[in-house]
Amino acid sequence: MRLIAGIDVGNATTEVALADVSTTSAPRFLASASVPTTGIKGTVRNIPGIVDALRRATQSVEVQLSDISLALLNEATPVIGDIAMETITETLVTESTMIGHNPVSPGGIGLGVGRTMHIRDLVSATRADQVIVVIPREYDFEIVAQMLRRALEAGVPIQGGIVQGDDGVLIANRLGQPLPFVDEVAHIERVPLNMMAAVEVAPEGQTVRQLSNPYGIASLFGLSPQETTLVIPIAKALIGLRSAVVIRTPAGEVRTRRIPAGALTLIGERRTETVGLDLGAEAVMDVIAQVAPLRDVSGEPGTNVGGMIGRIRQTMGDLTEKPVEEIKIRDVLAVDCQVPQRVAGGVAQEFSLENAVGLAAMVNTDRLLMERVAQALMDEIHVPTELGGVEANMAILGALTTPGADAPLAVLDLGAGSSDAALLRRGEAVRTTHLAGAGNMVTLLINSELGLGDFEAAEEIKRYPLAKVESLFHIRNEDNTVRFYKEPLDPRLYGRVATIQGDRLVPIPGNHTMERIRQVRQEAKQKVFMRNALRALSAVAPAGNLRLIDFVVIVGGSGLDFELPQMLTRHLANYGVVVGSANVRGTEGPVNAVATGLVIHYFERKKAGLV
Amino acid sequence: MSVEPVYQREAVAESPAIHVVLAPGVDPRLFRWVEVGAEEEGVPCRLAQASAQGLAAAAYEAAQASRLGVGVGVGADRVLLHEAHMPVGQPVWAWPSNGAPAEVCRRAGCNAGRFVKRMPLRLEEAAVATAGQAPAAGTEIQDVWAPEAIIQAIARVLERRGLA
Repeated sequence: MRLIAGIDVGNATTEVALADVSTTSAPRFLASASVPTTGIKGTVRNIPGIVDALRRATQSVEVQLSDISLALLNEATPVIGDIAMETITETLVTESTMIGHNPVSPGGIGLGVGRTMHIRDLVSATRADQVIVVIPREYDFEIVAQMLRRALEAGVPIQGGIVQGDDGVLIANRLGQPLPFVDEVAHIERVPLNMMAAVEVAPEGQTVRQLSNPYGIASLFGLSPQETTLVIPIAKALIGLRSAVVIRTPAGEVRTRRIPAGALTLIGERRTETVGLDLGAEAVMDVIAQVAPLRDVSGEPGTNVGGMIGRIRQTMGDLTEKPVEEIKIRDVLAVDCQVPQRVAGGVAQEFSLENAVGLAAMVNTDRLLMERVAQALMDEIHVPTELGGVEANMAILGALTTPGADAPLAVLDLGAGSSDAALLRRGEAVRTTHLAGAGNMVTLLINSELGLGDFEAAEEIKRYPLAKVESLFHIRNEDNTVRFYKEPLDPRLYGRVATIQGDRLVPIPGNHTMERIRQVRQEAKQKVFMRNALRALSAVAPAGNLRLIDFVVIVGGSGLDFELPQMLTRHLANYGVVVGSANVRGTEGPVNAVATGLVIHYFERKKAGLV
Repeated sequence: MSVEPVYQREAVAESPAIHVVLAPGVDPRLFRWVEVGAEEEGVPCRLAQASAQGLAAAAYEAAQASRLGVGVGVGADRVLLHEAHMPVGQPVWAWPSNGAPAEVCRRAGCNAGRFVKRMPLRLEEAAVATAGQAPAAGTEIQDVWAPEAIIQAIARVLERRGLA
C-alpha cells in the first residue's frame, strides 16, 4: 500500500482526500476529512488545520499519520480577496425637528397640533393654548392621566403628547377622549419647549399619513412653497411609521447629505477609465467590463472610496508581506445596498435607510506563499510534501469523478473569498478565471442591510433556512409549511424568527420579519453569486459567449448552499446552460474536488512514468 | 318578564381575556399591576378564581379557563405565566418577586399580552419601562396643583418598596 494525501486549503475549509495509489487502474480512495481553515489561506497559520484534517482522515481508517508517503498541497488560487463598505448618504437632524419612530405601542389615535409644553407647566395653560404635552419618565401614568383630565375639564385644549416611558396606551386610555401619544422617546430632554408641533398616531395596522406627506406638513404649519421643499426629507423619513412627531423650530432642519464617495480609476491593459461611485454599482461594473482585463485600481484620495481601496491594499500588504505599492488589484465587484443608520441628532433613536456601496477586491499573490506552507507542513509532520497542481485544474479533475460528468465542462467554485471558474474542452488548455466577491461579500451585505452588527449572525442567515416560532409547540417554515414539536420550545424563542440549524433553532437578533430577512438574503446572493457566476463563466467561455458552454458543475462549499444551486440552475437555464452540483467520487457531494483531483493527478503522472 | 338571552350572558362572561389568579394571602391590588402591563399591550385581563392547589396548577387552571389560553398566577414570592398547551407543572416563565411585586406583576402582564399577540417576550430586561425613579416623582410633583396625586404617588412608592 502506498498512501498519499491530497490537501486543499480553501478560504473557509481545509479538505483532505486519502488514497492508496499502489493500485493499477485507479487510485483507491480510503477517507476524506474537512475542517475549518486556520488562519488566512496561504499562510503558515494554515498548518494546525491541515494537521487536524490529516489526523481525522488517517484515524478513520486506523492508519498513522507517518504511514503517509506523500502529501500533495494545492497550488492555491493565486488570489485573495477583501471587502469594504461605506455609506454614501447621511441624514442629519438639527435642533430636533423630527421624531419618527415605531414604538411597539403608541397610545391613542389621531393627529394633534399645538405648542410643546412640559407637563409641570400645564397648570399655567389657558383655554387659548393648543398644547402638546411633553411627559418625562418620572411622571407616573396615573398622575399624568389625572393632570391631563383636570386640564381638559378646565378647558385647556390638549392635542396630544410626547412620552418618554412606555406609557402611551395607559395614558391615552385614561382620558375619556382619543388623543395621540407617541411614547418611548428616549431623549425627551431634547424636545424643544414652546414650539409648534404635530403628533400623529395611526390606527393599528396603518401608517402615518399627514406627517409623511410634505403638503400635509405644509398645511399643518402654514408653510410657504420654499419652506415646503425643506420638509421633504422629514416626510420621506416618516413614511411607513405608525407614529411620528414633527416640531417646527426656527432654525431646525433635516438634511440628507450626500457624502462625496469619490471616483474609482480602473487601469486596464489597454485603457484606463474613471467612474464616480455615486453613479451606482451598475455603472462601475459596466466600466470594469469595458476595461477588462484589469491591471490595477486606485481610489480618489481623500474620499470614501480612496479610504476603502487604501484599507484593502493595507490588509493585503500585511497578509502577503509585500510593500503596499506592489499590491495590484485585479478585480473589483461593486454592489449597491441600503443600510439602516441611526439619524444623527435624532431624539428617539430613529433610523434612516442610507445608500451604501460595498466593494470586494482581489489581488494576485505569488506561488512562494504555498511553497512556504508546504515546507512548514513537512517540518511539522515529517512527511514529504509538494505542490501537486494548480487548483482550478485539480478542481476539474475532481469534478469529472461526478457520475455522469464528462468533458467539455465548466467548473464553478463560488467560495468564501473569490468566485472561480474553469473550462475544460478536449484538446485545449484549461481556461481559468478568479473574480472578487463571494460568500463573505454576501454575509457583509446581509449584515449591513439588516443592521445586525454581528457577522456571525449574518453568516447563519446566509447558511440556514428560516422559520417563525408561532407557538411553543410549532414553527412555520419560510415556505409556509408547519412543523410541530412534542416538547415545548424555549420561551425565549417564542414569536421570534430563527434559523433552523439541524435540530436547533437559533433566534435572529432584531425585529425583522421572516419575509424581509428572506428577501435580503436572496437579494444578497443574487447580487454577488449570480453576477459573479455570469461574469466568471463568460470570462472562460469561448469568445466570451456563455451560450457556448453546455455543462456547468458547481464545486466547493457553495454547492452545499440550500438554495444557491437551484437559483443558479434556474437563472442559467436562460442561456441554455445545464447546471448541477458535483458529486465528487460519487460520494462526497460538491466538496473535496480539489483534494481528490490532486490524488488523481499524481496517479496519472505516476502511470505515465513522470514520478 | 324579560329574560336575558343565555348566549349574551355567556358572551360577557367568556369574552377573551388573560385570566389572573392570586394565591391566598397575596395583596389583591397586585391584580391591577398585571392588568396595567396587559393594557399597555392592548390585551384584556380578568381576575379569576382557581380551585387547584399550588401556584403552577392554579395558573394552569386560569390559562385553561381563558379563551386566549393564557393565565398569570401571582404568588407570594413569584409570578408565573402559563399557557393552556403547556404541561401543568411547567409554566412558560416564572419571575421571582424580588421585593418589587408591583413591578414584576406589570412585567408579567406585559408578557402575557405579548404572548397573546405572538410577539417575542421581554424576559431579560432589567425593568419595565416606567417603573420610574421614585425620588424624582416626589420632588417633581410638588409644583402641581393636585394634592391627591401626591398622596397617590407616595402610596405607590411605599407599595413598590413593600412598605404598605
